[in-house]
Amino acid sequence: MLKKSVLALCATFCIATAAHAEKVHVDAKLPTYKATSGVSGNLSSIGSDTLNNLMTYWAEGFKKKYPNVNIQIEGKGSSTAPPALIAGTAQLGPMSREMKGKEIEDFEKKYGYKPTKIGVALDSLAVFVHKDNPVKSLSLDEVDAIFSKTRKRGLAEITTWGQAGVSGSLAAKPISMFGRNSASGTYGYFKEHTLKNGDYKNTVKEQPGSASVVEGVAKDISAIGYSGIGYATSGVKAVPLSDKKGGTVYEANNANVLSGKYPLSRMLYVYVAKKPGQPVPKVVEEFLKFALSKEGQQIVVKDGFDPLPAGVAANQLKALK
Amino acid sequence: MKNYWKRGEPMVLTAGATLAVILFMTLTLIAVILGNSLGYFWVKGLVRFKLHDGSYVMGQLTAAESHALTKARRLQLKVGNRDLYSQDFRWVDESEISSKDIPKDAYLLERFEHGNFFGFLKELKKADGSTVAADAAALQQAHSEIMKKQKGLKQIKGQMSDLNQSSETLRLKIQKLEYRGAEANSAAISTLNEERAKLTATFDGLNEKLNQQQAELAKVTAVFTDAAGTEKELPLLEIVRFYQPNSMSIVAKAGAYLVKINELLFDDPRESNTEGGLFPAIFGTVMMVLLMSVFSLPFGVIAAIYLREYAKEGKLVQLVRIAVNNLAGVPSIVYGVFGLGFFVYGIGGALDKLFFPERLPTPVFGTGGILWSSLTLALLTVPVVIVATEESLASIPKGIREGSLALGATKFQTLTKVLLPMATPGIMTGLVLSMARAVGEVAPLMMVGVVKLAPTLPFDTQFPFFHMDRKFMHLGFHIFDVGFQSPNVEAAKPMVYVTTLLLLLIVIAASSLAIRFRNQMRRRYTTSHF
Amino acid sequence: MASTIVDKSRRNDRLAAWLIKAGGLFVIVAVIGILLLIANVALPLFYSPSAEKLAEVPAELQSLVASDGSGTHQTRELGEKGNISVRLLPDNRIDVQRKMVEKDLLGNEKVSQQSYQLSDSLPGAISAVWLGRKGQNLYAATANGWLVRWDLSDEGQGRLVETVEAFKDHRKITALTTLLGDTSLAVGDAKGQITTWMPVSKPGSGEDKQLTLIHHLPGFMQPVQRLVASPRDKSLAAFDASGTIKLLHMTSERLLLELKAGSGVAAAAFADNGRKLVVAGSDGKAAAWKLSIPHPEVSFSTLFGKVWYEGYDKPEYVWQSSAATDDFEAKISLMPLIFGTFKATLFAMLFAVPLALLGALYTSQFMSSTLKGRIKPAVEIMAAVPSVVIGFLAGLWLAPMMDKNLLMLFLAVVIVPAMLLIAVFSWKAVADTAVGRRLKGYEFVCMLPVVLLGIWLSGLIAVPLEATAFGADLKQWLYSSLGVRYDQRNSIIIAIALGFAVIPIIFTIAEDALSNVPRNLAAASLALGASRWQTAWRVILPSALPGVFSAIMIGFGRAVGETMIVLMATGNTPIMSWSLFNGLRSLSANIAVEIPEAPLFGTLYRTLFLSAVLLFVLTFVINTAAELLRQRFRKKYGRY
Repeated sequence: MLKKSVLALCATFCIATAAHAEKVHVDAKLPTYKATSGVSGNLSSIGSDTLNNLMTYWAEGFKKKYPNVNIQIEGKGSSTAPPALIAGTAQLGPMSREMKGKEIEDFEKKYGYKPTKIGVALDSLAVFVHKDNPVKSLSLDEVDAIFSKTRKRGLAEITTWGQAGVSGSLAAKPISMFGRNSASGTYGYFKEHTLKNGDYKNTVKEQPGSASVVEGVAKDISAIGYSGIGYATSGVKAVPLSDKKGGTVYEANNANVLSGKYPLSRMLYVYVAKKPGQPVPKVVEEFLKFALSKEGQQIVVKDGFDPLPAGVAANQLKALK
Repeated sequence: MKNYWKRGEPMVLTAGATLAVILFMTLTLIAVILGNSLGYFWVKGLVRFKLHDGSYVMGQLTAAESHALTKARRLQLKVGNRDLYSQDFRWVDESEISSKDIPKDAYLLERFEHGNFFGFLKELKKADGSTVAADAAALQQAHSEIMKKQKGLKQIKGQMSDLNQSSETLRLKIQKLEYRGAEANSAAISTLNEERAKLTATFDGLNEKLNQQQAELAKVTAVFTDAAGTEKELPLLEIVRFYQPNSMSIVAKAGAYLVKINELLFDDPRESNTEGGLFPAIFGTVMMVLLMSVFSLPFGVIAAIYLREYAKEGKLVQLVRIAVNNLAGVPSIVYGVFGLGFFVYGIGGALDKLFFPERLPTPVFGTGGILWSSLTLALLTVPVVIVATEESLASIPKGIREGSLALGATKFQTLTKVLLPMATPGIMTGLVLSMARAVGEVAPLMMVGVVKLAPTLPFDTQFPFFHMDRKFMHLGFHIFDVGFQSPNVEAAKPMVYVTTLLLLLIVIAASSLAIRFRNQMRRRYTTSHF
Repeated sequence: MASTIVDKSRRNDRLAAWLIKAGGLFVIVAVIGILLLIANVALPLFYSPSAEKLAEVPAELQSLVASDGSGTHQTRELGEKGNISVRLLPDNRIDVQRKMVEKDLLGNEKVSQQSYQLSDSLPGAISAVWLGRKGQNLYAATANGWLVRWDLSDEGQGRLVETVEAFKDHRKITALTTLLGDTSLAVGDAKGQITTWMPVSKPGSGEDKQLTLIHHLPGFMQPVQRLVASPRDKSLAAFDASGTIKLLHMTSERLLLELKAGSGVAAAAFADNGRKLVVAGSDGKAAAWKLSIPHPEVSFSTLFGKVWYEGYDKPEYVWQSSAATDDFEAKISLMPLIFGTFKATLFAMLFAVPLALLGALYTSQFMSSTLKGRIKPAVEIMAAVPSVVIGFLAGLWLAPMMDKNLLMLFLAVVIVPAMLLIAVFSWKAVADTAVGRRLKGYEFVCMLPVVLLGIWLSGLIAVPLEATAFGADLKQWLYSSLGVRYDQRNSIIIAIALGFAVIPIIFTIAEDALSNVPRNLAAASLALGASRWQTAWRVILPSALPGVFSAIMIGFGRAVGETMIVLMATGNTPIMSWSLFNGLRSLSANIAVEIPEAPLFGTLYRTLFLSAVLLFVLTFVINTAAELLRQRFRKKYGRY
C-alpha cells in the first residue's frame, strides 16, 4: 500500500521525464552534495545483495569525500538486514523490500522504537530470458504459472515454452527456471507480487547471486529467471510484462517504473535505527544525504537502477530529521 | 598369448588410464583458468564495423557464436562506454556488417568510473577553456601533469585522514565519559569537545582547499567521440591510463601488461570490485592466515607433544586421536556455524558488554571480524598441525630420546633442545598445509567476518595498529562475490578468473613448500628401508 | 648453584608436563564442546511450551475479549478499504453489510455502502458462521454436519462456492475459525473433534477446489465450544464446556499446551501478538495466561515427515523457509536436504572412487619411481585447490559447457573405454618386446593420448550424430522421447566437481596405504610367479584394504560436508529425485545460504543449527569408523 503511494507520488513528479524514456537522467533539482566536517568513524552496512553494488559504489564515492571513514559492506540478502540492525552489527540496513511485521516487531522489542525507512532508489524487477528467445511478452499470471507450484493466480501449470505462447522450435522445450535464494529481497518480493505469496516450485534453481541468475539464463535458450534490471547483460533480454493475462504490457524502462505501470517495480530502501527526536550518527546521516544527492543518484543510474525525483528524495531525507 | 590377459596387463593399462583421466581433469582445470585469466591484461586491438543501416560499432572482439535457434553467426564486441550505451557488450549479427576496419588512431581509455571508453580524440581543453591540438603526445603530457598534481593532493588527504582519526578517538572518549556519567565528567567532556571542535575547524579548512584544487584539476578535459560520433567530454582526472591499441607495438603491450599486474597486486579495487586491484583482498587473506597460524601452531604442537611424548598409550589417547581426526573431518560449514554462535555472539557479545558498554548496541567484537575468522579457521586447521607434528615426532628414532635422557636432561629439556628442533620440518609442513587449507576456505568465513568491501585494512599506522574487530576482504570470497553477485557480470568475469589464478598460485606455492619440507625431513630421518 | 639449575629445570619439566597434558585434554573438550554448543542452540526447538497464569487480568486485555470476532454478528475491518460485516438471521439467511472506501491518487475518498442477503438453500440449520479475517470468504456450518463456503470478494452479491458434507454421521458442527492467512478453516464439532479444512484441487479436475479435511488435531471428550486462531502462526486455542483449553498447532498437529479455566468460556482472544491468551469465563471471571511457545511449528514429523501444507494438493516433503510476508508458513522438512546431501555424495563417490583407487594402485605399484616422485606431489597439490575455485568453474564454466556438449559427454563415456580397449589390444603386440619392457612404469603416459583422442573423437562425432539421430537437440529429444528433463545445473556437474575435490584426498591416503604394505609381501608373491597385476590385486590390495577403506570414508566425509561447490554448482533445488539430470540442495549449502537471513534464535536459525548437528554427527560416525579401521591397520602392519 505504502509503496503504491510512493510510486504515485513519483508519477506526479515525473510526468515531464516520462517523455524521453531511452536515456535515464537524474533530476536536475536534486541537491549537490557538500562535504562537511566531523564525519568519521565506522560505517557498516549489512543487507540486500540487490543493493550491494550500489552501496559499494556509494561507499567508494563517500570515501573520496571522507578518506578516513571506515566502511564495511556485506550483502547476502535483504533478510540479513533486520537481524544485523537488531544485533547492532550494522548501522545501515539496505533492503530491497519493506520490513515484515515480525522483523519490525523484533526491532521494536530491542530498541523500543520502530526502524526508520529511507527510500534510496527505484528498481524494476525484470523477468529475463535468453537473448534469442522469441517470446514477446508475458503476463504475471503466466509467470506465476511457470514459477509456482501453488499457482495462486489461477492459471494452469506452464512447463514448456509453447504453453507460454512461443511457437517454433522452442515451443516443445521445457522451461528451466532460475531464481534467487531465500535471503534475497528479490526472492521475497517476487514471491509476494508475482506468486501472490504462493510457493516456488522445487525445480526453481536458487542461485546465491543475481549475477549468477543472469549468467544461467544467458547460457540456456530455454531458461527464464528474475532479478533486478541492473543485472542485465548482453546475453539476456528483459521481457515486457503485464499484470493480468491479456492486459497491456509494459517494458521495464525508467518511465514505466516511475509511473508505476510496470508491474514489478519497487522502491529500494536503507533502514536505520533512529531514536525519535534524536539525530542519527553524523556519518550515517551524511552517507544517506550523499546517496540522495545528485551525485548519489547518478551512481544509481550507473548501477542500472532508476533515480529518485528530487521531491521524493527530499521527502526521504525528512525522515532523518 | 592368452597369458597377456591372464597376467592382468590390461588391468594395469586401465589403471594407468584412470590416472591419465585424473591428470587430464587437472590439466583442463589449469588450462581453463590460465586461458581465461592471462589474456585479461593484454591490450586488445579495437575493431570498427560499419553496419548496413549506416551506423558504426567499435570495440574489442570477445566471442563468436551462432544464434540458438536460427544458427546465424554473430560476434560479440566489448563496446565499453557504459555511460553512453549502458551495457559493455553487444552482439552483432555477421549479416548486419557491411565493412570492417581497424582504425589506427582509436583510443582505449581506462577510467576510474564507468569502465573503459573506446573512441577518438577530438580536442583537449585546458583549465582556462582554451583548446589545444589533440594528439597522443599532448594528451600524454597533459594527463601526466594532472596525475602529478593529483598525487600532490595526497598529502592533504593524509592530513585530513589523521585529523579525522583523532577526532574519532576523541568522540569515543567523550562517549565513554558520557556513559560513565555526563554530570560528573562535564568538565572533561567540554575540554574534549573544544579540542574536537578545533580539529574539525582545521579539517574544514583542508577540505575546502582540497575541493578547490580538485575542481581546478577537473577543469582540464579531453573531448572524445565514440564510433557513432557522439561526443563525450572527460576530465583527465577520471582517466587512469590510455592507449592507442591498434598502433601499439608488442613491447609496448607487454609493458602495459606489467603495469596492470602491478595495479592488480598493489591497488585498491574500483567499480564495486570489478576493476582495479586486489590489494585489500590479498592483504586480508594473508593477515587472516598468519593470525590463524598464531593460534593454531602452539595449540597444535602442544596437543601433538602430549599425544606422542607425554600421554600413556591407552584408551584416553586413542580417544583423543579419534577426536582429533574427527575435528579434521567436520564440515567447514559446521565450524562456521560454531564460530558464529560461540565466538561472535558468545565471546564477542560478552567482551562488548564488559569493555565497550558505552557503544552498545553498536558492537565492537560482537560482530564478525578478522579475529573471529582466524580463530574459527584455527579450530578448523589445528588437526592438520597436530597430525603433522605427531608424525614427525614419531619418526625420530627412540635412541635419540634415550640418549638425551641418559645424559641427564629432563624430559622438557629433551623436548625443547633435541626433539623439537629435529621435528621442525614436520611441524612446518603441518603449518604450511594448514595455511593452504585456510587460504582456500570460504564457507565458514562468510559467517564470521568476510565482507565484499572493506578498503580499510585491519592493520594500519594508527594505534593499536592491529584492528582485530575489523572485517576484511578475502580472495576466495572475492571470487564468489564478483562471479555470482556483480552486475555487469560479463565484464567482471575475467577479473574472477584472475583472482582465481592468484588464489590458486598462493595455494600451490604453499603446498609445494609443504611437500618440499616433508621430503627434506624424510630424507634426513629415514634411516632404513625394508 | 648447580642444584638450583637442576631444581629449576625440574620445575620447568613438571610445569610443562602439566601444561601439555592440559592442552591435550583441551582438544578433546573442544571437540565435545563444539558439538554440545551447536546442539545447545538447536535443542530449544524441542522444548515443551509453557504458560504462566497472570495473577490479575489488566483491563485492556479484558476489553480485547469483547472483540473476539465470533458469534452471530461478525465485523471485519479491512484497513483503508472499509469494512464488512455479516449477521446470521433467524430464518437461516445471512445478511451482509459492506462499506467500501476507495481512495484515488490525490487522496479523495469515495465511500459506498452495500447490503444484501445470502438466501441460498442450505442442507440444514446454520450452527456456526465465520467470516474470514480478510473479508473474502464466509463459512457456515450446519447442525447436521455440512460446511458451506461463500465468496464475498465480488461486489454486489456473494457467491455460493460449495456445500460439503463434512461428516457422514451428521454430527453438529459447533465452532469455526480461519487460521492465520485465511486459507485453512478449523472446525470443532459436537463430538469434541477438531479438524482443519482447506480448498484442494479435486483429483483430475484441475482447477476446481473443494474444502478437504487435512489435519486431525487432538480434541476433547465433550463438544467443542469455541475456537480462536492465533494472530502469530498457524496455531489455535480450543475450548470445551468444562473449561479445558487446548492450544494446538495445525501443521505439526501438536498439542502445545493444555490449560484449565474455572468454567466454560464466553469469549476469548489472543493478545500481545499471540503471546498472551485472555479468556472470559461464562461465570463472568476473566483469566489470562502468558504463553511461551517458541517453536510451535516444529515437531519430529514436520522436520522429517511428509506434511500437507496450505495450497498443496497432497502431503509433501517441502523446504521453503521464508517469504517477505508474515502470514507465510515456513516449511522446514529436512528430508529433501538430507536426500540432496546423500545424492551429491553418492554420485560424487561413484565418480571419484574408481578413478582415485585405480589411479592410486597404479601409482603405488606400477609406476616408475622417478615419475611417482612427480605425480604424487602434483595430486597432493590438487587436494589443496580451494573449493570455491572448483565451485566457480563448475557453475559458470562446466555447466554451460556441458549444456552445449551433452552428447559429447555421453559419447566420451562410451568411446574413451572403447579406445582403451583398442589400446589394450594393440599393447599386446608390444608388451613383450623390448619397447614394451622399456615402457613398463610409463604406461599411463601412453594412455594419456588415448584418453585425449577418445574425447576429441566424441567431440567430432557428437555434432553430426546429434543432428541426425536426435533432431539436432539431445536435451529436447530426452524430454520428448524419454520424458527426462535436463537441467543446466544437475547432478552430473556435482558428481564431476565434487568428485574432483575428493579424488586427491582418496588418492593420497589410498596411495600411502598401498605403498606402506611391506615390500617383502610383494617380493614373495612375484617370486612365486605371480604377475605384477596379480600381486597388486590379490596381495597388496587386500593387505591395504583397511587403509583404502578409510581413504574412501574420509573422502565420503569430505563430500558430505562440502559447501561451496554444491552451493555454486547446483541450483539448490530441494527435489527428491534420483535423476542424474536435475539438481539438489544439500544440508551444508543450505546452511551457508540461509543462515545470514535467519533471525537470531528463531526457528530457522535453530533448525539450521540442527542440520549442522546432523552433519557433525554424520561425519563423526564416518570419521570414527575410518579412524578405527586405520588404527587396526596400523596394529596389523606396524607403523608405516
